[in-house]
Amino acid sequence: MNRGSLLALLIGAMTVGLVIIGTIWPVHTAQAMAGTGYSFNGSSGPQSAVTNLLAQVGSRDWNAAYGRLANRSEFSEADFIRDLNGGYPSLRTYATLADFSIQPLHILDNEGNFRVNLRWSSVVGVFQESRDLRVTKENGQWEVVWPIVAEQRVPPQVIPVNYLRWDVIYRGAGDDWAAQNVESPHVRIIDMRPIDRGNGVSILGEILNEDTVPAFVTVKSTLIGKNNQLLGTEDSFDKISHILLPKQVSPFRIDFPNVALSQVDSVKMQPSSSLIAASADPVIEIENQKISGAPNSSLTGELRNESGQIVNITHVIGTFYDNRGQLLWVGDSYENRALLPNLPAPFSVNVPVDIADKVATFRVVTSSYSSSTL
Amino acid sequence: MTRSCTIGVVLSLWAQWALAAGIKVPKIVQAGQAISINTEGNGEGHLYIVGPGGALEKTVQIGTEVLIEPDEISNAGRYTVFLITSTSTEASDFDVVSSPEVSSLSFLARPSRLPVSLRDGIGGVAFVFDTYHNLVLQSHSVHFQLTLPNTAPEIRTVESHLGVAWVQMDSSAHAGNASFEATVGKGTSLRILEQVPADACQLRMSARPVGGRLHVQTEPLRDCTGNLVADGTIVTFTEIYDGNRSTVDAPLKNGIAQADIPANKGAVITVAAGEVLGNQLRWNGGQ
Repeated sequence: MNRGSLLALLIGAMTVGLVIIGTIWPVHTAQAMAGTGYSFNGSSGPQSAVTNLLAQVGSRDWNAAYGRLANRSEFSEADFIRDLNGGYPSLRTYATLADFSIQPLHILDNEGNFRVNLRWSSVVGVFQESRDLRVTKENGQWEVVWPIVAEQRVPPQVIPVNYLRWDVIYRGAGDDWAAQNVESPHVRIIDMRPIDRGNGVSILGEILNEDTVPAFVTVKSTLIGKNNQLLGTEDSFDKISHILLPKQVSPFRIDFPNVALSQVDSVKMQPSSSLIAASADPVIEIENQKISGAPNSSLTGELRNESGQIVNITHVIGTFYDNRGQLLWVGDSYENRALLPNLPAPFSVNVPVDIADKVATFRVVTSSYSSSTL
Repeated sequence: MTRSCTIGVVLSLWAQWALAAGIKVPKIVQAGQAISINTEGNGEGHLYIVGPGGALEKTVQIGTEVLIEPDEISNAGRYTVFLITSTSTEASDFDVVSSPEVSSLSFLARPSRLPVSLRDGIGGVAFVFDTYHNLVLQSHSVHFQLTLPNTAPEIRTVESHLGVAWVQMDSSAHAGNASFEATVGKGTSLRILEQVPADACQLRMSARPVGGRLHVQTEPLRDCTGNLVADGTIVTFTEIYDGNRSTVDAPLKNGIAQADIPANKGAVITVAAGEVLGNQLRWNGGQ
């Protein structure tokens, strides 16, 4: 038997072994999420009540989950669903509970407190949520007291908005070959810096729309090695605000995993822009921005939608500079709840601890998506 | 034996001469004119005309005149005529040239959008064509006219060279959609160029309290030649108070940007549009 066959046999045996282990001793949360009727340490424990509730939330069995709540008389099932799913379409509406962890805070004979960390899986990645749950024992059964967070509602009203919008008519098939098409917006990279992040290289930069029309921008980057070999080509993907209004600046970050900065000889940047029909609304104010240091270094603040339009998804991008004005980092986050007109909503952008200490100033921009344009 | 061979050779040569075909074509033909091709010989043959834009095949009675209609061959260029019979192939070339009369033009105007007061910023190139869309090589006067609403048009006349005429013009000091027209003979073509305002020249803002918040608003923002800066241009209001920062990116509407920010007594408010910095305010509670 040669070495390859031996390795294949070994991998096969290990796979079978892991399947058997997973079947006999499954991970509790995974089993709960799979909806296999899992019960934690018997159905009568306080932690079991929390686990079962979250499992039902994960499988979107709202009726069963609501039925397990001790304080269900205080709110309706619809309120409970809105609390978890969001009252208006948002990232949360389409997210699924990927995982959760339960941390007991204190447990008495008839009462207990748990901190649950929920990891929701959405189209733009995972977002986390932490809630403190109280469990009580009623008639020998443990039930969860759900800390309902009533989502703010916008009262029915008409909000007049006189907003700007750009529409584009492109050249058509029947036009003379010499008929000019509409000019692509002129954009320019105004700053660029490659940094080494241990597990890879990140290209940080800023791009300016120096034109008078909106632009849809992307930035592609190619790393060239010492011997002129291609180390990789990546683009900014969602670490950029793709739609730039006239004179607007967006930061961007392009990550090259598994490449060391010492390998890089040169970097080729390729910004591209195209005309796009766009609207100048909504205008989002970013209030009370501040950066906090270790251990949970982050940029926090509040978003306020100054328009009449409900923003379903808000993307916040932070650019961080040192005391010489040099780019240090570009970080982002998505808000998982809809942003309602004139109702402030908190946001937080994580900043690597080693970078947060060096930040002297920062700039925050938002881009938004509304259901009419989703 | 020798005599019979000689007679055979003579008969063969006579037969070949008798069956051989010939063609006569004009060397130069103007597009839009019929082409007459004379064939010489006897019998039936096939006439092929190969040139730019395709090929033509006709069955012809050799010895007669073959007429090619104007719409059958109209593209300018070199053509080759083949006359093929059962015993021979004859070939001849002729050129089709464009008509000297201009019928249409193609007009390239670049760019479609440019800032005001840009020297030689506008480029126009006109290609002059005849009825059959052949480039007219003879020189013609091409008129270029750039017109902005409420301003006198700027006109240039340029002689075309080998079918092409071009011009460079300055963009005007006034923003707006300019009509850029090229005319030659019966041909005319219109393009629209958007002359957009340049960057802001001076930026000033004011603030007033509105319902517990502060309403900040710029004065009408103009470029250095007095045009209102383009709508949608982002103006950033920044308030710094107690180490916290609040920012709003507000788009210009009719030259004015406005936003509501927190009304914090002692806050410092700044405004910027692109690389242009405006005035700075310190909010003292309206006192």
